Amino acid sequence: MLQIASLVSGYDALAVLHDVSLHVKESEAVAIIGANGAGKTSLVRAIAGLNRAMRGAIAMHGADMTHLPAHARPAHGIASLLENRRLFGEFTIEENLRLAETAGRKLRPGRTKFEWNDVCDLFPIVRERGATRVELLSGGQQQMVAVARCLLLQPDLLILDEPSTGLAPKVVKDILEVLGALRDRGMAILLVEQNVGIAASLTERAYVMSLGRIVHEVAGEEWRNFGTDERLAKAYLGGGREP
Amino acid sequence: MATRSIVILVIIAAIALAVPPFLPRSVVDLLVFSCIYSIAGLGVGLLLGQCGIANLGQSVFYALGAYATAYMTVTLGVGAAWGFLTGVILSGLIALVIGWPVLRLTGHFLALATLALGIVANALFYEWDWLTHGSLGFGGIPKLNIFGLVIDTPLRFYYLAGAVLALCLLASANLIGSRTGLMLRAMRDAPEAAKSLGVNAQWLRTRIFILSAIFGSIAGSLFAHYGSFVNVQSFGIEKAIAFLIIPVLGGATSLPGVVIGALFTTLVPEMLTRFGDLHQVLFGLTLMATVVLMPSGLMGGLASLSRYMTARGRA
Repeated sequence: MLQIASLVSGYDALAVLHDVSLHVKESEAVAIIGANGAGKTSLVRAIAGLNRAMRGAIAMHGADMTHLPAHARPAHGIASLLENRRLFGEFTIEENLRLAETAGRKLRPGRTKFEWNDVCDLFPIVRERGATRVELLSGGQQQMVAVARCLLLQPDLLILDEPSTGLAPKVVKDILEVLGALRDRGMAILLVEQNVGIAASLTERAYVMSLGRIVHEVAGEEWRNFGTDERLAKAYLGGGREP
Repeated sequence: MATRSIVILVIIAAIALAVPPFLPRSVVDLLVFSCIYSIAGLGVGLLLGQCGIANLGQSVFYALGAYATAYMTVTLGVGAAWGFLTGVILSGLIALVIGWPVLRLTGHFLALATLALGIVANALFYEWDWLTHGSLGFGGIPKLNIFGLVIDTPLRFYYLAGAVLALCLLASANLIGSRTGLMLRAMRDAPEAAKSLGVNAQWLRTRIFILSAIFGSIAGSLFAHYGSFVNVQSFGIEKAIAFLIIPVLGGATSLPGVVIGALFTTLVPEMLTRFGDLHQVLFGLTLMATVVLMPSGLMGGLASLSRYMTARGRA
């Protein structure tokens, strides 16, 4: 479904991703792991069209979108939850979601997977506090709204950039439950995560990034052990897994 | 809209309709200019308040409206409606052609680009005197005639300009309250998130730039009919700055704020003329004091005052 080949990308003329190749299949959950500064966020931004691709190719469902502007990418079935959630703080929960809902209908006609009520069922806060300004919510609640907003774009692939950052363990668990339910419904997920344990609990395989390159691909038994094996984590991430 | 807001709106509308016949002609004349400047300032206000774009090129579209009216009615001798229409179409097209590439820029680069547009256009208005009559100006622009009623007094023109302003305010309010308005504010506050929701920022900004230019052109056409004379000195950089000051002073995100800003910039300098040569210095100081003391503009200041009074009333 998502195919990235020899991608070089970065900020203005400065390349921070070098020769990155990866793929995500239909209904597959894949993680990108790596230490701080490995280039994970830059990779998300390149896929979302926020950073220019200098070389290489990005394709979704076989259609080349390497040089498509960011606003045209959701039409290809990509929804990105950017770092720090990027919600519109002054808007209410409903306003944030209505923007995505109309965009989803317009950009993905006839491909509705998540109706308003589905999202309300998955995230009860939408129904309970729809008229509340987003800036008044806790970090965990904002994260829920951010995921809900992505779903209303009717994506085939959900890209999440460190959704657990700064959240209490209980909140992270709640979010993981929702993401697990989405995965079980067949939603493809590309999860960028520094916390290996979280990534391993949700995904089937992972790419390890270091200094803007993919240095290893982990799957199966190795990946399942990755989250608990201090030695493996240290070998690939340098600092070991996070608590 | 809350009942309180509707009541305030009705009272203001009643005052705006009933009081001017009892005012001196010179004051009504200033009110006419307030209405005209409000229309042009509204365009700048939409760009500034909803998109975060400081536009220093509104005088270009104001001039286009005025010259289109002058050329169509005087040189070609056709009806006033053709002047308005030509100005609006020309302004819209030029805003599209210039806005599309220029609105890729952000922040002060964009403000400088719009300033450059104003400077270039002003130079062209001087150079193309076969079209604009240069500094000598275009005279003999006929008074407006609406269904046989000649709009030949300041009071009549005040009601006409006021009605046009009301329509422009209504259109702007609808825009702000629509999904497009929501997208504009989303784009202003978190551009990358807006893009990732499929918002085409450049096209959206260009559309608002076109609307702003159309408002500028309409104001320019009204100005030409009101004064019956236009010349290039009316469309300099000072005018562009004045159009930007209007929403900044009144409150860029507030539609009534634009009208208050326009009233301020037309009435206050006139009131200060009694201080002779000092009046410009005093106006500058008044502007500085207003901006420093009320960073959200006069409308924001009024809202704070209202909150303070309400809280004091409860205490």
